Amino acid sequence: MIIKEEINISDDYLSSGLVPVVRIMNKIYNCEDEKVIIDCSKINFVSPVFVISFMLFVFSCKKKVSLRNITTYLETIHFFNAIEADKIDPDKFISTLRTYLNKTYIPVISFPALANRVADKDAILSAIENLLYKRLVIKTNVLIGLKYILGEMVDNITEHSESVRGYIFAQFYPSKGYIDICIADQGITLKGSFDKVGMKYSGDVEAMSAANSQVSSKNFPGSDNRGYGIYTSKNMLIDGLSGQFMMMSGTALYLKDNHIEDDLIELPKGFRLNGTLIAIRLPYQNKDFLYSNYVE
Amino acid sequence: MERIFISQILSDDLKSRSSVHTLYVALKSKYINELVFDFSNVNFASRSFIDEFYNVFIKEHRPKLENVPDKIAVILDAVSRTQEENKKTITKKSKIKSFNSVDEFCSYMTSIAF
Repeated sequence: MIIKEEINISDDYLSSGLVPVVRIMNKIYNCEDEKVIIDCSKINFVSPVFVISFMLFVFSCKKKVSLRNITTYLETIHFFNAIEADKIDPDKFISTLRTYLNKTYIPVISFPALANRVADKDAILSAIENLLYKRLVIKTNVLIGLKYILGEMVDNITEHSESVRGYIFAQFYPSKGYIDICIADQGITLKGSFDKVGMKYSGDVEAMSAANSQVSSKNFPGSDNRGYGIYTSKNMLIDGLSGQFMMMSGTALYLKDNHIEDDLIELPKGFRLNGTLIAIRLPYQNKDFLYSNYVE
Repeated sequence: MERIFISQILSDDLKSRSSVHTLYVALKSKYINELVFDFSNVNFASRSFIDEFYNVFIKEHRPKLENVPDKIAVILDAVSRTQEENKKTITKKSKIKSFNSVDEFCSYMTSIAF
């Protein structure tokens, strides 16, 4: 089967990219063929949520999915061909990133996620943050907020997911003053992480609810101080910067912003992401934002 | 007292919880309560890093900390408070939305303007 869809993701909403991905995956799941080809010639403009969720759903799919007619635009953003940042010389990686200084995105980058590679992971993330800082021209307080949020999201992959690699992709919208960032892993999911320590939740949505209510799989008696990362990051992002937060893990989807309060959603039957994805929309021009008001 | 420049052992950007253990291993043969941890040139520390630093070094050994930048002192203060307070786990229950079809899911996602 060949799937050829015209894709033009609007930047109006953070999650706009998810519906086309669900529609394409639905065709893949429902076709009788075991091999599916995605013809990319009509994929014109994509978003971080589209790119990363599509990649993870395809990786999670039992069918053999391949791509053809990848356009120059998709090649430039490294669609399904993430830059493996730790596998190239650090100076070369930094000079590669510099070539994106005049672009409105950073390409899909894959980084090592296991605890024995934190120095590499942190150096890669710092290089990405430096690019964002130079490209967006943001105030120090917003930069610290961005680093705080990204740091917690990426460190959760190392601490909880057991994923060997993590992925990041970002798109800026300079005329609108916000940036969309998507970070994901191919790990054991939130529920899998809770299961490992005997914290049994009946499903992915219940585990998603717990993870977003300050419950951590690493809280033990006498050391009940974990689980602040996502919580404080969400406060900083939503209350402090009027941003948006989206999380997907297993069969669960969670959305939160100033208008939508803790929306817990079960993905359609048959849909499952083997891993966890977080997407944020971060307005970066708030002059009054003080990160210290949101640290707790 | 021996002075440990954290930025020289780790980085000026302290992101990961597990890098605290890199620091611990580097100091293994030293008496931690006799050390001064110097945060000069540290530009950023994540809450996770500070939380682990607090548990591994401060809670047990009470070493001296010097040249802690204000932006890191704020996080250190928050972390020390949350060690002592009972954590406020959020207990409110949200209704779980589920859909009978892909079309229903897609129309919901399109309707919420998120």
